[in-house]
Amino acid sequence: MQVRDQIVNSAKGLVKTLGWHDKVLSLACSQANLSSASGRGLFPNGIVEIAEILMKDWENQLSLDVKLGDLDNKTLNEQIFLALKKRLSYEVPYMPLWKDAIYLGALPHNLPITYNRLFSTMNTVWDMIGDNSTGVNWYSKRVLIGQIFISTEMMMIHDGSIGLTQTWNFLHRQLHDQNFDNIQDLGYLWYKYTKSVFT
Amino acid sequence: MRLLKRLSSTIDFGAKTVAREKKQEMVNEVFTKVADKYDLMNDLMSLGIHRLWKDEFISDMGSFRTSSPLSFLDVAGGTGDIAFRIADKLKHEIPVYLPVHNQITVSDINPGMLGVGKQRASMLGLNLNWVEANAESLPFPENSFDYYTIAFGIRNVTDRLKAIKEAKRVLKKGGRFMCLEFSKVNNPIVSPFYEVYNRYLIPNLGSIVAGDKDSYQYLIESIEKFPTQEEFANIMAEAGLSAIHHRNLTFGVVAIHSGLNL
Repeated sequence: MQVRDQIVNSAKGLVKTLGWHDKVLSLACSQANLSSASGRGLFPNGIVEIAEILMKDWENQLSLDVKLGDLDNKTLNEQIFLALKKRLSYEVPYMPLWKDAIYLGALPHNLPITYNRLFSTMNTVWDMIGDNSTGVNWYSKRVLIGQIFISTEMMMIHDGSIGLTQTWNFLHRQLHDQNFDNIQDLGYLWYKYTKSVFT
Repeated sequence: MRLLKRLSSTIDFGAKTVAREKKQEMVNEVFTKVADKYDLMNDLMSLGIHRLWKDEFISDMGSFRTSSPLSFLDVAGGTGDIAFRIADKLKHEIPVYLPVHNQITVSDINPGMLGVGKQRASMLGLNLNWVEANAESLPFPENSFDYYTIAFGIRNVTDRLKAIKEAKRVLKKGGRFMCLEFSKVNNPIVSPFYEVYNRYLIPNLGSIVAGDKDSYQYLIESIEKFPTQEEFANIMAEAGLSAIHHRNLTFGVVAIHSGLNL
């Protein structure tokens, strides 16, 4: 619907400065010459739907931005680093208020959709890199980099360094610990996964 | 087929079939009789859960923090349950509450129900507009309200499509139509218990507590005859509303339907 798209675009701009609250939806609606009542009418879940739309957009953008040429002649670790760094850089214009969107996305009501979007994004990353795993390996890989992604995102929220170097160093260290280059087999993967959860 | 149905001279009144012109009169009779005990019977019939349904209905309305004042119309809301909740929410969300800027209008076809509402409003110290009106033909100009709410009222309206078209007329552009009403329970485990509760418990409660079994028999039967969630959504679409969605509360015992005038 054209009106809905108009309001989505308007809201995407407003949340950068005004934060993540239903009143931002009301404002976006009144800017489109509609009654502010239409905010919740068009978006039953409230402002968190804008966050979900953004995550979807970023996933699509990621598959366009990371070209095959960029991934050539790089180790698996470096390829993953590149993809995740690109994906995280999309969030930079929305910082630091993005933490409110994370909070909303983590609410039990919204968690299934947030999880879906994240998993889908990690799947896109692995597909770009050219992953042929099957079975439990397939799930484990996506969950693993999902975990790395989330912890790096948390780091980024509190990062004050110039050019976000602290965040990228953190990401490097995480990937190094995970050591995707030398993944041997399922057993090794699960050992690593369990270890990272409990330490 | 639908045209034939529209032109036919009879309509459902609960489980009975009555002449179309008579239905409004008979509904009026029911509500005049139950007006005094309406709130008490609501509590007994739904075991107090109707308060939670109404709370959920209100929280679905979204944030009232806007730059321009909002205007609300609560239709068939005689005793004021929804209107008072809206007033409460406004008070909480807008730090400086100026009643004259945010307008709440309550309309009801039955003066008895409006009387009960006015009394409660004066006890709470609230200043609302009370209008006696038929939902099928509202005495308000077009483009007047941001929100049109109707809670447990639409099943008593003879021509529901007409009422929803009226709602679209009085709503501003982007205004929201919200309906809270009893609906179909599809859950196979809950459904038989619900039916037993309705058919056997409630009319008897009505005769014991309010001394009026027939009125409550009508209320129960009108619940059964009401269209399903999807059917009602179709009626809303036919009236010209957009962005229609609905969600169930309590396994589908009630449903909240929402549509926009775009």
